[in-house]
Order: sequence, then structure tokens, then C-alpha cells
Amino acid sequence: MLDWQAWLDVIDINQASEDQIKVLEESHPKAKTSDYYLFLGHQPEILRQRSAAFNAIMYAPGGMSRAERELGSMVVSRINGCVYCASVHAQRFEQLAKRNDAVQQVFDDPYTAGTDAREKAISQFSIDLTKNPNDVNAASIQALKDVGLNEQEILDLIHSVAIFAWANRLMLNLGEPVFPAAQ
Amino acid sequence: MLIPDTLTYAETHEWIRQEDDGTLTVGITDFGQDQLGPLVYVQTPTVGSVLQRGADAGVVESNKTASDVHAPVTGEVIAVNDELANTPEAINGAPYEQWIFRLRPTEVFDESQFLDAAAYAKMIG
Repeated sequence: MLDWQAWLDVIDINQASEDQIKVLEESHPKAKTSDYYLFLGHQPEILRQRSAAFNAIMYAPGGMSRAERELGSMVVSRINGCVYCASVHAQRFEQLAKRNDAVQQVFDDPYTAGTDAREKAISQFSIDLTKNPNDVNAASIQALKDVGLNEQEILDLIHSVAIFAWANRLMLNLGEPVFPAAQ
Repeated sequence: MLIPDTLTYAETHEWIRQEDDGTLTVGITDFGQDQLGPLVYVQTPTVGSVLQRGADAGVVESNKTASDVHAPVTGEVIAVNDELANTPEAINGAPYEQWIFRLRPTEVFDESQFLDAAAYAKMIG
């Protein structure tokens, strides 16, 4: 998996405030050694809210399956060109779905990705909402219903796509991925 | 690292408790939860489903990674810990109190195929 490094100064963990340490510990098991979290920790309350929203959207019980939430996230990241996010969420999709066929499809051509009609509809909707959010309409929602998604699953998908619009922009504009060969 | 000597352990970091009625209660070990970090999601099996020995019975997930939970023997799932859906992190705080599922075996539970506390402690180093 790729690593990521910030272009801007990250928190010096030895100089961090009590609240910064607390929010880093709440956010991710590796947050205290991760450039991404160490940079976002400059604004601890925003990081706290981000992490709460991320966990609620991606891990909330019920609704869309975890693997399908990861599929939507992976497609958005691929479309936005966030190599790091696409890599992380491709790996998680593979862990959960126990297959990588859809991962390969998303990386090869996200516009035709999906191993069945449901996955194809999820991928297409994620692309549409990412590229042309003003064009998404009732027909877009109906296309998801036609392949079996219920309203809670659709809401979960929209939330997943939306939070990765944010996550991708943070990753793309605050630093860059580090490829294993470059380390 | 807590490793109660009253339980049996799988190499895949599940603990197994044999109940008086012959059913099995399964959770993940202290070492397992520590490796994952704070849990954010637990997927439990469906009550009434029949699992084959070694089959995936659920998933425990942190921000860092996801890990399968396995059925120690073939059997029917008779209960799941529904509370974990809303409080997955409870496993981190009390891994041996927070069971994940209960199984009624349809084959003999052969403890010799698993690890006792001493063997598990040796395995994890």
C-alpha cells in the first residue's frame, strides 16, 4: 500500500497540545505517525468532526454493505485522481469482498466497472455525482432502485461519495502519495 | 496481554468457550483486538445459518484493516451479539466479555485441534 507525505509542516508530536494528542489517538491507530493526521491535527476540532463523520458514513450498521461503500469510495477516488485513496480503499474492498475483479475494472476503466448490474449502477452513480453533481436527478436515483438498492443504501452511497469528495481534495492538495520504490 | 486459561484459542486469534450445554461462544482475543486497533465495525453472522469449520463467520474492522472471524467447527449460529453493531469498540475494552457469536456444533469440538492459553501465548510471542 502507498504512503503519503504532507507538503506543509505537520505537528511535532513532542510539542503537541493535550487536545491534539487526544484527537490523534481518537482518529486512527497510526495517526501519531501519519503525515495526514499530523497535518490535520493543526485544527483538532475539525479533525475530530471529520473522523466522526467518516466513521459514521463508512461504518454505520445497516444500509449499504461495507464492501459496496468501499466500491463507491474507490470509484470517486479514481475519478478524482487520488491515487492514495483509491489504493487504500481498493485494498479494503478486496479484504471485505474477497475478490479483486471489480478493483481491476475500476482502475482499468471506471466507466464500465462492476461485475454485475448492481455494481455497475453503483459505479456509474458515483461517477455522475462526482463529475456532474448538478445533473444527478430522480432518474439517477431510479436507476439505483432498478438494480435493487433501497433508500437507505442510496443515502449511504451518496454520503460515501460526498465524504470522498472532501477526503480526496485534502489528500490531493495537502501532499502527495509516496510510492514504495521511492521510500 | 490477557490470555485466560479457561478458554481455547484458534491460530486465527479467536477465543472459544465451550458452554455446559455443548454450544460454543466465540470472540476475538486481546492480541487480536490489539493488532487491529480501535474497532469501528463488527459484522456478525446470521442467526440460523450453518457455517462450515473454518468458514468466515463475520468481520472485525478498524480504520487500519479488516479481519475475518472464523467458525471453529461446523455448526448452526444460535445467537449473535447485536450490541456490537453500535459499540464495536467494546471489544477493545473487554475482548473476553464481548462475544461475537454462539454456535451449536454439528460435529465434535476437538480441543486438541486448537491451542490452550500457554500454547497461544507462545504462538503470539
